[in-house]
Amino acid sequence: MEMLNKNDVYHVANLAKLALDEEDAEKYHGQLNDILTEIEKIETVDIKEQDIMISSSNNTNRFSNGSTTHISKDEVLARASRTNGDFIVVSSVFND
Amino acid sequence: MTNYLSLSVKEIHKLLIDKKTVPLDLVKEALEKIENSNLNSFITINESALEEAKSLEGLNIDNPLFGIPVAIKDNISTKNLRTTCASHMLENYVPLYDATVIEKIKEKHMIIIGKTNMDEFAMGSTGETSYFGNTLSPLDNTLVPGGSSSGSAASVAANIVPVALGSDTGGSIRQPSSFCGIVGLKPTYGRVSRYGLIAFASSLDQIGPITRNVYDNALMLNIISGMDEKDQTSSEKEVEDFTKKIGKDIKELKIAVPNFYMGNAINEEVKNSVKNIINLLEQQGVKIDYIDMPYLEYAIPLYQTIALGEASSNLARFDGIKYGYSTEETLDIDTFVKKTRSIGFGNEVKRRIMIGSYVLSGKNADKYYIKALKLRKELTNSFKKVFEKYDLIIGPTNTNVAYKLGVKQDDALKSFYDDLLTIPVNMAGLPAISIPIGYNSEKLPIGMHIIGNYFKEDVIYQLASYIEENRGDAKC
Repeated sequence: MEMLNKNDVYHVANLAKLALDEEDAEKYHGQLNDILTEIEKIETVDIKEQDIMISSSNNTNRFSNGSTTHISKDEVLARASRTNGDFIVVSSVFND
Repeated sequence: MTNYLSLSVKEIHKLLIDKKTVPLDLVKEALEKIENSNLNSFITINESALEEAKSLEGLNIDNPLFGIPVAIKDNISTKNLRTTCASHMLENYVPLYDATVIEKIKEKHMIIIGKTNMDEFAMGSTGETSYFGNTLSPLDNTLVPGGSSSGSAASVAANIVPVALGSDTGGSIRQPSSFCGIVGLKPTYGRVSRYGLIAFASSLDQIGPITRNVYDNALMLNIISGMDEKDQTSSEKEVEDFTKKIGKDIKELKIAVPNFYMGNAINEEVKNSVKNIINLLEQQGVKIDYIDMPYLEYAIPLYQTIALGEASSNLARFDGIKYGYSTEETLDIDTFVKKTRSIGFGNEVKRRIMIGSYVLSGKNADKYYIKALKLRKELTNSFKKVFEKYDLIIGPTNTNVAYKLGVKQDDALKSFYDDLLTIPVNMAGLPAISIPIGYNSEKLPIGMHIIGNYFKEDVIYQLASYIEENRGDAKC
């Protein structure tokens, strides 16, 4: 059963913030359908349980102790791919 | 060249105590072995390792892992040592901090030799999705070493290091350990801090030890376990000495074998090998029952829904703005992010985050994701029911032995099936080990899976060490 058509593949790629070309879309079309056909089995299973399980941990939220870690400017700048003086250079991402 | 690193940690420790070797020699040996290795099991070598080993001279050898070289999977953050997740996206990422497990390793004066190759962002079961090329199996270079902790398992099996750390989200420690004929443990969820582990699926991920024998594995778990307030899911459970039950009598243990684990999906030779061990245990008076356990057969779709849903959310942070690879083209923000991610991620990762985005979107969240979380609870309940009557669950680790490189590369579905028997353990958050129990007719190692109740790693090690000592002719 085909669960996603080609247009759906572009839509899903958009949700995942990925750009696909025609060749990619063709390839993923079949592969995603294979996986989703498997996932569909979830729908058919009969279960009584109505509670969800997000994690096996039962921990409740806890507050941090409020301590901070100091990271020097030099350590940070040394890890940036592009810098200008004390600034990190990033790509321009503004719309026109 | 010396070959001390083919010995157990216990033996190397004795050599250090007796002053027959020093940490510097051990590091030199590891580096020389990497230099001469064709396995591609390391992505980055720790250039400071020799210096660190030298700095240990004259210090009191105060613990069994002092001066022992260790390899670290490349999704565990190491301060000032590149951490790539085997991805183009993080090719040049150098963390500002150590993961908690790394801090613990350093406190014990272990020496990090380098960062090991893996499937990209731990997504894969063959090692073939790495941006840095696949790892080769030390047993046969035409076979997959398993994954995603491919380089850690291959390095231990090849005697480059005696111990390594891996991570396990659906079987990524146990499956490569099984394929390489070594010992790998996924601890109880919360036993080991995940702080500094680059997240794939946060509710399933655990860091664990990969070694050549059971005792070394327990020693390593001793030092990496414990409560960490930097990890919300870290357990306050006391950390005992995990070696304490090794060598103890196993007669009183009650063991269950789920029929699903010995069903049609499992290779006959693998099943026979497990049956031999069952016979061995029964001869010792151990009570073993075959049982039906519901919902195990849904492991794969459960994993695809929950793990990939979480992955799509966790990997949303890689947008080219905050850190990691970014395209240098000047584009509008949406195109910039998409272009960056399309170049930065490999095929397997893209496929998985698309599936994850789909199952979490709109009405699908109820239809698939919420339903999967309910099913996860049912599966966990069925494990809990078994552990009311039994101490351990056993079966094969994998449906089969290691296979040829390239076989599953283009099949989106097949690689998930490698983890059919290991995924349920992650879903429930239980601890489990893979130990070698023999070979098939092609001389490839077969792994046995021992699953324990929550925080009962000591009981797992108790049985695992008994099998290790007594499996006789089938010894790997």
